[in-house]
Amino acid sequence: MHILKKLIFAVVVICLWIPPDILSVSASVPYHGYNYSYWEQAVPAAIPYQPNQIIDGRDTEYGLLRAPEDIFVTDNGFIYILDSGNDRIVILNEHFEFIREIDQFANAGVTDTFSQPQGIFVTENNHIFVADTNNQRIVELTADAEFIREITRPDADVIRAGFEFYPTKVAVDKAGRIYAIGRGVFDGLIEFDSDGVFTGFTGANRVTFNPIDYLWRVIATREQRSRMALFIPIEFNNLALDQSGFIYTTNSELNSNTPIQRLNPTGEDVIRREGYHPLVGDLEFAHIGDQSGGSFFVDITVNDYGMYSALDGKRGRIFSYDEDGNLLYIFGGIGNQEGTFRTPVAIDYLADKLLVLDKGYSRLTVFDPTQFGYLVNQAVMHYNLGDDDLSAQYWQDVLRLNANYEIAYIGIGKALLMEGENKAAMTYFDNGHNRFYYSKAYKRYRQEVLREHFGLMMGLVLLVPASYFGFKIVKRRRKKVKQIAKRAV
Amino acid sequence: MRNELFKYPFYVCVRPFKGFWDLKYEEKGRTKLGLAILAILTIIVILKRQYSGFIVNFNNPNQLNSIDELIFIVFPFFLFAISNWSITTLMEGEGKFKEIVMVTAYALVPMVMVNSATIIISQFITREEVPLYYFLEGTALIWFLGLLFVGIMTVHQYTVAKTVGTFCLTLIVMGIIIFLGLLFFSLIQQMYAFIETIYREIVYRL
Repeated sequence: MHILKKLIFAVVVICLWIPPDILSVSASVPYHGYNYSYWEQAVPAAIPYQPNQIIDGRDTEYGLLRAPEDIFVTDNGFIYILDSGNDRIVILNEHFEFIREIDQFANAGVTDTFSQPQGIFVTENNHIFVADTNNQRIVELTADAEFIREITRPDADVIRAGFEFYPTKVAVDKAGRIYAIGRGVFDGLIEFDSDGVFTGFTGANRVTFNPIDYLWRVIATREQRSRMALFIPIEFNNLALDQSGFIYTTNSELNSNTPIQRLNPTGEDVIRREGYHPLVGDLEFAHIGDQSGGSFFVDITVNDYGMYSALDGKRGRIFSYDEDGNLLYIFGGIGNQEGTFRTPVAIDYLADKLLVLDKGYSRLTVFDPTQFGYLVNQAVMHYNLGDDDLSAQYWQDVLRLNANYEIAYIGIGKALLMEGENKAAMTYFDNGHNRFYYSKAYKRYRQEVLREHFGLMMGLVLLVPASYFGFKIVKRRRKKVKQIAKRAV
Repeated sequence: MRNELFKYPFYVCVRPFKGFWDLKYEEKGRTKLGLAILAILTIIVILKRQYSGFIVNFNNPNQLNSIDELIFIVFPFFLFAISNWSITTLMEGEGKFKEIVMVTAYALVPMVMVNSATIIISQFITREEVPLYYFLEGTALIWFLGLLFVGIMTVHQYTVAKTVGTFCLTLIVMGIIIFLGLLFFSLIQQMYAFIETIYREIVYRL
């Protein structure tokens, strides 16, 4: 008994000795940390973000949220929650303190309200654009909830008869052009100029179909054909604008190769795909059963440093990529614990926090970066700002936490290459599986070596054949001498 | 004499018509040497998987398996030899099985040479020079196919058209052999399962 007591005492003492942050490293996140290696395998990785706070309106002056659909965070940190079930907008400051709510506004002297709105966007001068879905309009309000205008069903030659305008998402660029996504609109993004006049569709997805379906269509009779499903391009389901006015979109196609796109002003997809894998979220997934199939992105958000995070509505995961298309980290999941979701619908950055809005649980989850997440974010940020050295330092720290983090090796390699440490850079690019930069480093290294040993090389080039022929001549002479000697004998 | 035997495969590479003729009628080839060439090629290809330069090496080191090379080199080699022999004996080919094996193996010499060269070259190339690497690889393959064609033609004393015909038939026969092999193993498996089931039933009932 005495020994047992001693043992327990010893264990307690040891536990007290361990600093608390070590104990909380594996702490209580309800999802696995993983990432995809260069070889397309899911490998364990450090947890990048952990849930810190849940905002659902309980015990607050604005009351419970109900089936919220969208969220928008402005540059100065104000959070606009589109509380669709209550047909209102709740505005919070960056500390999640209530500022005000907008549930009605005066439209031409009459009190007007929203009806099941699904999208919100706030411009730099704090004008609020709401995709007021069931009222079939986009409403623009000032910061003080004064009605400015509404944009209703566009009217133009290119619009099909029977076109119905149910805007679900909206975004406004710096020039005041308004982009909207409409329910059932597969022509692309609906674009309006700053006066709210319809100017056209942009960035239409291409029609995809499989060859067998096409074959059937070709050999079918007209009557059969009329009863077949149409080949229809995929509709977008969400959009976000980055600092330079490019539009990031997600679409609702299953198992698509391009679920994430970055559209330039002419509607072309210009996203960079220099990572190891296509930008499709999960690479390994079940093909049958619940939650089968590839990731299904429902929202995307971009930060000021080109990083973007896409929200997979199917498995509740968040995939963060850098501007080159490297998959940085993955977190989140479906579940009923803090940090998991039931029906996640929207995501947004608040500085380096990530806010995820869950329609199913009617709540907003605030994720804070862990040390690992913070270091990765810093490394990406400094690289984006052009400070390779500082970025490399952060990557070194990242490697200390996760030595299998292949992207970090590339980051450090790039910095070494800049400094002219070609040989070391080669090792890092090898570890990072980056052939493009490896080749660059190797080319310089090879030149360096050749230049250094130019004398030796040229010497060999000249000496080896010279000595060979010299040897031959000597041999021949000896033979001749021998023959002459023989004859003489 | 021995020295000449070792030099002969290289002579065949550059003078295939005369080389293969002498191989058959002057007995300048050795089956053992042919099999040695095959073994060397297998080793070279294993080395290539493991050690070719990073720029052109896309193999996952965790998944390399030297036994696989037997399946991808030695097995097709004998599959080809057997299929070709089965076809040509029926089509008045003059070649013996031993000669077919020898000719096929001697034709592999350029593959051995070029592949061992490219392993070394691949250590010293950049991305811009990669096409050169693949060009060499392609050359080796075409060279091999050319030698194989000439060799089979000479050994069987065929015309060009007949050689092309037998090659096509050989491919078909290779397919048939693989099919029969799979069928055989699948049947064995089924029978094994059947016997095992009966045994279990009996054991349970006793």
